[in-house]
Amino acid sequence: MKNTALIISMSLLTIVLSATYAAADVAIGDKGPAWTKLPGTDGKEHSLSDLKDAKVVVVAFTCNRCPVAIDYEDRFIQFAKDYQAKGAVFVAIDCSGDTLDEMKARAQEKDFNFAFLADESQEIGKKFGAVTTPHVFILDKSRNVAYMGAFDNNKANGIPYVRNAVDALLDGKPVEVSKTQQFGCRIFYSN
Amino acid sequence: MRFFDWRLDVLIASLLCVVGMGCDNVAKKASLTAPASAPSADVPATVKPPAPSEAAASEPEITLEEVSPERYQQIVAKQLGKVVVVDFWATWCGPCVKQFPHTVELSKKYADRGLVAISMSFDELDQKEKAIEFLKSSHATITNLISLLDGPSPEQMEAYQISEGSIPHFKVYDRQGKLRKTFSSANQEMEGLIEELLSEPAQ
Repeated sequence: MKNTALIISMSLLTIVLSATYAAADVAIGDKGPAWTKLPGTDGKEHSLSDLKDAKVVVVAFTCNRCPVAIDYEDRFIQFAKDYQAKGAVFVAIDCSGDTLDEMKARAQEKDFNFAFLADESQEIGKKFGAVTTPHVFILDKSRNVAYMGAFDNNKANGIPYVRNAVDALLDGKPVEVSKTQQFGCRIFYSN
Repeated sequence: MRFFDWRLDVLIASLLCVVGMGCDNVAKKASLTAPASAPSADVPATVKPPAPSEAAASEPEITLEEVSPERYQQIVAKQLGKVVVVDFWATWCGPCVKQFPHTVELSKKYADRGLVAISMSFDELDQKEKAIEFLKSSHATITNLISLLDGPSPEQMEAYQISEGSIPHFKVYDRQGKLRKTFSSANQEMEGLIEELLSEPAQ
Protein backbone atom coordinates (compact mmCIF):
# COMPACT_ATOMS: atom_id res chain seq x y z
CA MET A 1 0.00 0.00 0.00
CA LYS A 2 2.77 2.36 1.02
CA ASN A 3 4.82 1.37 -2.07
CA THR A 4 1.87 2.00 -4.39
CA ALA A 5 1.37 5.45 -2.92
CA LEU A 6 5.05 6.17 -3.34
CA ILE A 7 5.02 5.01 -6.96
CA ILE A 8 1.93 7.09 -7.75
CA SER A 9 3.28 10.23 -6.13
CA MET A 10 6.68 9.87 -7.85
CA SER A 11 4.93 9.38 -11.20
CA LEU A 12 2.81 12.48 -10.68
CA LEU A 13 5.89 14.45 -9.65
CA THR A 14 7.71 13.30 -12.79
CA ILE A 15 4.77 14.33 -14.99
CA VAL A 16 4.51 17.74 -13.35
CA LEU A 17 8.25 18.38 -13.56
CA SER A 18 8.53 17.30 -17.20
CA ALA A 19 5.65 19.60 -18.10
CA THR A 20 7.50 22.49 -16.46
CA TYR A 21 10.76 21.72 -18.26
CA ALA A 22 9.31 20.78 -21.65
CA ALA A 23 10.99 22.86 -24.34
CA ALA A 24 8.62 25.19 -26.16
CA ASP A 25 9.74 27.02 -29.28
CA VAL A 26 7.98 30.25 -30.13
CA ALA A 27 6.59 31.04 -33.54
CA ILE A 28 6.10 34.50 -35.06
CA GLY A 29 2.96 35.99 -33.55
CA ASP A 30 3.10 33.94 -30.35
CA LYS A 31 3.03 35.67 -26.99
CA GLY A 32 6.64 36.11 -25.94
CA PRO A 33 7.70 34.14 -22.84
CA ALA A 34 7.81 36.44 -19.83
CA TRP A 35 10.73 36.13 -17.43
CA THR A 36 10.28 37.06 -13.81
CA LYS A 37 12.92 38.01 -11.25
CA LEU A 38 15.98 36.97 -13.18
CA PRO A 39 19.17 38.20 -11.48
CA GLY A 40 20.99 40.88 -13.44
CA THR A 41 24.64 41.90 -13.47
CA ASP A 42 23.48 45.21 -11.94
CA GLY A 43 22.67 43.34 -8.72
CA LYS A 44 18.88 43.71 -9.24
CA GLU A 45 16.15 41.28 -10.24
CA HIS A 46 14.50 41.78 -13.63
CA SER A 47 11.09 40.87 -15.04
CA LEU A 48 9.69 41.44 -18.53
CA SER A 49 6.83 43.34 -16.87
CA ASP A 50 9.38 45.97 -15.72
CA LEU A 51 9.61 46.98 -19.39
CA LYS A 52 5.88 47.67 -19.84
CA ASP A 53 6.58 51.13 -21.23
CA ALA A 54 8.95 49.90 -23.94
CA LYS A 55 7.61 49.99 -27.50
CA VAL A 56 9.82 47.10 -28.50
CA VAL A 57 11.87 44.58 -26.50
CA VAL A 58 14.88 42.92 -28.12
CA VAL A 59 15.97 39.74 -26.32
CA ALA A 60 19.41 38.37 -27.19
CA PHE A 61 20.59 35.05 -25.82
CA THR A 62 24.33 35.32 -25.45
CA CYS A 63 27.22 34.07 -23.33
CA ASN A 64 30.79 34.81 -22.32
CA ARG A 65 32.72 32.04 -23.97
CA CYS A 66 31.40 31.76 -27.50
CA PRO A 67 33.66 33.57 -30.00
CA VAL A 68 30.68 34.30 -32.26
CA ALA A 69 28.71 35.88 -29.41
CA ILE A 70 31.76 37.81 -28.22
CA ASP A 71 32.11 39.18 -31.73
CA TYR A 72 28.59 40.64 -31.39
CA GLU A 73 29.05 42.43 -28.06
CA ASP A 74 30.09 45.74 -29.59
CA ARG A 75 27.12 45.60 -31.97
CA PHE A 76 24.77 44.99 -29.04
CA ILE A 77 26.25 47.97 -27.20
CA GLN A 78 25.87 50.18 -30.28
CA PHE A 79 22.28 49.04 -30.79
CA ALA A 80 21.35 49.77 -27.17
CA LYS A 81 22.97 53.18 -27.49
CA ASP A 82 21.14 54.00 -30.74
CA TYR A 83 17.69 52.71 -29.76
CA GLN A 84 17.28 53.40 -26.05
CA ALA A 85 15.83 56.84 -26.70
CA LYS A 86 13.54 55.48 -29.43
CA GLY A 87 11.80 53.17 -26.97
CA ALA A 88 13.39 49.86 -27.99
CA VAL A 89 14.95 48.14 -25.00
CA PHE A 90 17.75 45.62 -25.46
CA VAL A 91 18.07 42.77 -22.94
CA ALA A 92 20.73 40.06 -22.94
CA ILE A 93 20.06 36.69 -21.32
CA ASP A 94 22.64 34.02 -20.52
CA CYS A 95 21.43 30.44 -20.24
CA SER A 96 24.77 28.92 -21.21
CA GLY A 97 26.11 28.27 -17.74
CA ASP A 98 28.17 31.39 -17.09
CA THR A 99 27.96 32.27 -13.39
CA LEU A 100 26.53 35.63 -12.38
CA ASP A 101 30.02 36.65 -11.24
CA GLU A 102 31.46 35.78 -14.65
CA MET A 103 28.64 37.73 -16.30
CA LYS A 104 29.28 40.72 -14.00
CA ALA A 105 32.96 40.67 -14.89
CA ARG A 106 32.18 40.73 -18.62
CA ALA A 107 29.50 43.42 -18.21
CA GLN A 108 32.01 45.61 -16.38
CA GLU A 109 34.88 44.87 -18.72
CA LYS A 110 32.82 45.80 -21.79
CA ASP A 111 30.74 48.45 -20.00
CA PHE A 112 27.45 46.87 -21.11
CA ASN A 113 24.69 49.50 -21.43
CA PHE A 114 21.91 46.91 -21.24
CA ALA A 115 20.57 44.45 -18.70
CA PHE A 116 22.43 41.13 -18.70
CA LEU A 117 20.33 38.49 -16.98
CA ALA A 118 21.21 35.03 -15.69
CA ASP A 119 18.78 32.29 -16.72
CA GLU A 120 20.46 29.63 -14.64
CA SER A 121 17.65 27.08 -14.83
CA GLN A 122 17.55 27.61 -18.63
CA GLU A 123 13.77 27.87 -18.33
CA ILE A 124 13.57 31.07 -20.38
CA GLY A 125 15.97 29.78 -23.03
CA LYS A 126 13.81 26.69 -23.41
CA LYS A 127 10.58 28.65 -23.57
CA PHE A 128 11.91 30.87 -26.32
CA GLY A 129 13.58 27.93 -28.06
CA ALA A 130 16.98 29.63 -28.09
CA VAL A 131 19.45 27.24 -29.70
CA THR A 132 22.57 29.30 -30.35
CA THR A 133 24.51 32.20 -28.89
CA PRO A 134 23.64 34.61 -30.18
CA HIS A 135 19.94 34.04 -30.89
CA VAL A 136 17.74 37.14 -31.02
CA PHE A 137 13.97 37.53 -30.52
CA ILE A 138 12.01 40.78 -30.87
CA LEU A 139 8.79 41.40 -28.95
CA ASP A 140 6.42 44.09 -30.22
CA LYS A 141 4.37 46.43 -28.02
CA SER A 142 1.85 43.65 -27.32
CA ARG A 143 4.83 41.45 -26.43
CA ASN A 144 4.17 39.11 -29.33
CA VAL A 145 7.16 37.64 -31.13
CA ALA A 146 7.75 39.78 -34.22
CA TYR A 147 11.21 38.54 -35.20
CA MET A 148 13.54 35.64 -34.46
CA GLY A 149 16.98 34.63 -35.70
CA ALA A 150 20.27 36.35 -36.34
CA PHE A 151 21.17 39.91 -35.32
CA ASP A 152 22.50 40.61 -38.82
CA ASN A 153 23.99 38.67 -41.74
CA ASN A 154 27.54 38.98 -40.37
CA LYS A 155 28.94 40.10 -43.70
CA ALA A 156 30.81 43.16 -44.93
CA ASN A 157 27.69 44.25 -46.80
CA GLY A 158 25.90 44.07 -43.42
CA ILE A 159 22.16 43.42 -43.61
CA PRO A 160 21.00 44.58 -40.14
CA TYR A 161 18.01 42.27 -39.67
CA VAL A 162 17.23 43.34 -36.10
CA ARG A 163 17.58 47.08 -36.74
CA ASN A 164 15.37 46.78 -39.82
CA ALA A 165 12.71 44.87 -37.88
CA VAL A 166 12.82 47.32 -34.96
CA ASP A 167 12.61 50.32 -37.31
CA ALA A 168 9.53 48.80 -38.96
CA LEU A 169 7.85 48.14 -35.61
CA LEU A 170 8.60 51.67 -34.35
CA ASP A 171 7.13 53.05 -37.58
CA GLY A 172 4.03 50.89 -37.29
CA LYS A 173 4.96 49.08 -40.49
CA PRO A 174 5.01 45.32 -41.14
CA VAL A 175 8.33 43.57 -40.50
CA GLU A 176 9.59 42.48 -43.94
CA VAL A 177 11.99 39.81 -42.75
CA SER A 178 10.66 38.24 -39.55
CA LYS A 179 12.72 35.08 -39.51
CA THR A 180 16.37 34.47 -40.32
CA GLN A 181 18.80 31.61 -39.78
CA GLN A 182 20.39 31.94 -36.36
CA PHE A 183 24.04 30.89 -36.06
CA GLY A 184 26.65 30.61 -33.35
CA CYS A 185 27.61 28.23 -30.57
CA ARG A 186 25.11 25.60 -29.57
CA ILE A 187 23.31 26.11 -26.26
CA PHE A 188 23.53 22.83 -24.36
CA TYR A 189 20.40 22.19 -22.37
CA SER A 190 20.66 19.87 -19.40
CA ASN A 191 17.92 17.26 -18.72
CA MET B 1 116.64 -15.55 -64.78
CA ARG B 2 115.94 -18.18 -62.15
CA PHE B 3 116.35 -15.42 -59.55
CA PHE B 4 113.24 -13.74 -60.90
CA ASP B 5 111.07 -16.85 -61.33
CA TRP B 6 108.98 -16.56 -58.20
CA ARG B 7 110.15 -13.09 -57.34
CA LEU B 8 108.79 -11.89 -60.69
CA ASP B 9 105.35 -13.37 -59.87
CA VAL B 10 105.40 -11.61 -56.50
CA LEU B 11 106.53 -8.38 -58.14
CA ILE B 12 103.76 -8.50 -60.75
CA ALA B 13 101.15 -9.41 -58.10
CA SER B 14 102.26 -6.45 -55.90
CA LEU B 15 102.20 -4.10 -58.81
CA LEU B 16 98.71 -5.25 -59.69
CA CYS B 17 97.57 -4.68 -56.08
CA VAL B 18 99.01 -1.19 -56.04
CA VAL B 19 97.35 -0.33 -59.33
CA GLY B 20 94.05 -1.89 -58.14
CA MET B 21 94.09 0.12 -54.91
CA GLY B 22 94.86 3.24 -56.83
CA CYS B 23 91.87 2.64 -59.09
CA ASP B 24 89.63 2.12 -56.08
CA ASN B 25 90.81 5.37 -54.59
CA VAL B 26 90.22 7.19 -57.84
CA ALA B 27 86.73 5.70 -58.06
CA LYS B 28 85.89 6.75 -54.50
CA LYS B 29 87.19 10.24 -55.09
CA ALA B 30 85.05 10.49 -58.21
CA SER B 31 81.90 9.40 -56.35
CA LEU B 32 82.54 11.90 -53.57
CA THR B 33 82.69 14.80 -55.95
CA ALA B 34 79.85 13.60 -58.20
CA PRO B 35 76.28 14.75 -57.34
CA ALA B 36 74.32 12.26 -55.20
CA SER B 37 71.98 10.13 -57.25
CA ALA B 38 70.66 6.67 -56.37
CA PRO B 39 71.36 5.52 -52.83
CA SER B 40 74.65 3.68 -52.51
CA ALA B 41 74.45 -0.10 -52.32
CA ASP B 42 76.93 -0.33 -49.48
CA VAL B 43 74.65 1.06 -46.72
CA PRO B 44 75.44 -0.62 -43.41
CA ALA B 45 72.88 -3.20 -42.29
CA THR B 46 72.04 -1.42 -39.01
CA VAL B 47 70.15 1.77 -39.99
CA LYS B 48 68.47 3.46 -37.03
CA PRO B 49 64.66 3.98 -37.39
CA PRO B 50 63.49 7.49 -38.31
CA ALA B 51 62.97 9.90 -35.40
CA PRO B 52 59.31 10.93 -34.77
CA SER B 53 59.66 14.19 -36.68
CA GLU B 54 61.11 12.33 -39.65
CA ALA B 55 58.17 9.88 -39.49
CA ALA B 56 55.71 12.78 -39.54
CA ALA B 57 57.51 14.27 -42.49
CA SER B 58 56.89 11.07 -44.42
CA GLU B 59 53.07 11.28 -43.65
CA PRO B 60 50.96 12.30 -46.67
CA GLU B 61 50.77 16.09 -47.00
CA ILE B 62 47.88 17.68 -45.13
CA THR B 63 46.01 20.05 -47.40
CA LEU B 64 43.03 22.40 -47.10
CA GLU B 65 40.92 23.17 -50.16
CA GLU B 66 38.71 26.26 -50.41
CA VAL B 67 35.33 25.20 -51.74
CA SER B 68 32.00 26.64 -52.80
CA PRO B 69 28.84 24.76 -51.83
CA GLU B 70 28.71 23.42 -55.42
CA ARG B 71 32.29 22.16 -55.24
CA TYR B 72 31.47 20.52 -51.88
CA GLN B 73 28.59 18.62 -53.54
CA GLN B 74 30.91 17.55 -56.36
CA ILE B 75 33.48 16.22 -53.93
CA VAL B 76 30.87 14.23 -52.00
CA ALA B 77 29.40 12.91 -55.25
CA LYS B 78 32.85 11.75 -56.39
CA GLN B 79 32.94 9.33 -53.44
CA LEU B 80 30.21 7.16 -55.00
CA GLY B 81 30.59 3.63 -53.70
CA LYS B 82 31.93 4.80 -50.36
CA VAL B 83 30.23 5.82 -47.15
CA VAL B 84 31.03 9.44 -46.36
CA VAL B 85 31.06 11.29 -43.06
CA VAL B 86 31.54 15.05 -43.13
CA ASP B 87 32.71 16.84 -39.98
CA PHE B 88 31.76 20.54 -39.95
CA TRP B 89 34.11 22.33 -37.55
CA ALA B 90 36.06 25.56 -36.94
CA THR B 91 39.00 26.59 -34.78
CA TRP B 92 36.63 29.01 -33.02
CA CYS B 93 34.34 26.16 -31.98
CA GLY B 94 35.61 24.59 -28.73
CA PRO B 95 33.49 21.44 -28.83
CA CYS B 96 34.44 20.92 -32.51
CA VAL B 97 38.15 21.09 -31.77
CA LYS B 98 37.74 18.73 -28.84
CA GLN B 99 36.00 16.03 -30.80
CA PHE B 100 37.98 16.34 -34.06
CA PRO B 101 40.50 13.59 -33.22
CA HIS B 102 37.55 11.19 -33.07
CA THR B 103 36.78 11.89 -36.73
CA VAL B 104 40.40 11.15 -37.64
CA GLU B 105 40.16 7.90 -35.66
CA LEU B 106 36.90 6.90 -37.38
CA SER B 107 38.59 7.51 -40.70
CA LYS B 108 41.46 5.16 -39.82
CA LYS B 109 39.22 2.56 -38.25
CA TYR B 110 36.90 2.15 -41.23
CA ALA B 111 38.97 3.24 -44.22
CA ASP B 112 39.56 -0.28 -45.47
CA ARG B 113 35.85 -1.01 -45.27
CA GLY B 114 35.08 1.98 -47.46
CA LEU B 115 34.56 4.99 -45.18
CA VAL B 116 35.72 8.38 -46.40
CA ALA B 117 35.97 11.16 -43.82
CA ILE B 118 35.88 14.77 -44.96
CA SER B 119 36.35 17.84 -42.79
CA MET B 120 34.73 21.18 -43.59
CA SER B 121 35.94 24.26 -41.77
CA PHE B 122 33.72 27.27 -41.16
CA ASP B 123 36.73 29.35 -40.17
CA GLU B 124 37.01 32.76 -41.75
CA LEU B 125 39.27 32.59 -44.79
CA ASP B 126 41.84 34.88 -43.16
CA GLN B 127 42.17 32.21 -40.44
CA LYS B 128 43.09 29.53 -42.99
CA GLU B 129 46.63 29.14 -41.62
CA LYS B 130 45.26 28.55 -38.13
CA ALA B 131 42.97 25.86 -39.51
CA ILE B 132 45.85 24.19 -41.35
CA GLU B 133 47.99 24.21 -38.20
CA PHE B 134 45.21 22.49 -36.29
CA LEU B 135 44.72 19.91 -39.05
CA LYS B 136 48.46 19.17 -39.05
CA SER B 137 48.58 18.77 -35.30
CA SER B 138 45.61 16.42 -35.59
CA HIS B 139 47.37 14.40 -38.31
CA ALA B 140 44.24 14.86 -40.39
CA THR B 141 45.31 12.91 -43.46
CA ILE B 142 41.77 13.10 -44.82
CA THR B 143 40.09 15.40 -47.34
CA ASN B 144 40.02 18.81 -45.66
CA LEU B 145 37.85 21.61 -46.99
CA ILE B 146 37.21 25.22 -45.95
CA SER B 147 34.09 27.09 -46.99
CA LEU B 148 34.48 30.04 -49.34
CA LEU B 149 31.44 31.58 -47.59
CA ASP B 150 33.95 32.93 -45.10
CA GLY B 151 33.05 32.15 -41.52
CA PRO B 152 29.87 31.88 -39.48
CA SER B 153 26.76 33.55 -40.90
CA PRO B 154 23.13 32.82 -41.79
CA GLU B 155 24.25 32.18 -45.39
CA GLN B 156 26.86 29.64 -44.28
CA MET B 157 24.36 27.64 -42.24
CA GLU B 158 21.72 27.79 -44.95
CA ALA B 159 24.09 26.81 -47.75
CA TYR B 160 24.97 23.64 -45.83
CA GLN B 161 21.46 23.05 -44.50
CA ILE B 162 22.42 23.25 -40.86
CA SER B 163 19.05 24.31 -39.47
CA GLU B 164 20.21 24.42 -35.85
CA GLY B 165 22.74 27.05 -36.87
CA SER B 166 25.57 25.54 -34.87
CA ILE B 167 28.58 23.28 -35.25
CA PRO B 168 29.75 20.60 -34.61
CA HIS B 169 27.59 19.12 -37.27
CA PHE B 170 28.01 15.84 -39.11
CA LYS B 171 26.49 14.55 -42.32
CA VAL B 172 26.54 10.84 -43.18
CA TYR B 173 26.07 9.81 -46.82
CA ASP B 174 25.53 6.24 -48.02
CA ARG B 175 27.33 4.42 -50.85
CA GLN B 176 24.82 5.81 -53.35
CA GLY B 177 25.76 9.35 -52.31
CA LYS B 178 22.48 9.96 -50.53
CA LEU B 179 22.47 11.99 -47.32
CA ARG B 180 21.08 9.62 -44.70
CA LYS B 181 21.32 11.53 -41.45
CA THR B 182 22.86 14.49 -39.70
CA PHE B 183 24.16 14.66 -36.14
CA SER B 184 25.18 17.44 -33.78
CA SER B 185 27.63 15.14 -32.03
CA ALA B 186 29.73 12.19 -33.16
CA ASN B 187 27.99 9.74 -30.87
CA GLN B 188 27.41 5.99 -30.76
CA GLU B 189 24.34 6.41 -32.94
CA MET B 190 26.44 7.95 -35.69
CA GLU B 191 29.07 5.22 -35.54
CA GLY B 192 26.29 2.62 -35.57
CA LEU B 193 24.81 4.18 -38.70
CA ILE B 194 28.22 4.24 -40.38
CA GLU B 195 28.73 0.54 -39.65
CA GLU B 196 25.27 -0.24 -40.98
CA LEU B 197 25.89 1.74 -44.19
CA LEU B 198 29.31 0.13 -44.68
CA SER B 199 27.68 -3.27 -44.69
CA GLU B 200 25.38 -2.14 -47.53
CA PRO B 201 26.67 -3.07 -50.98
CA ALA B 202 28.02 -0.38 -53.30
CA GLN B 203 25.59 -1.62 -55.99
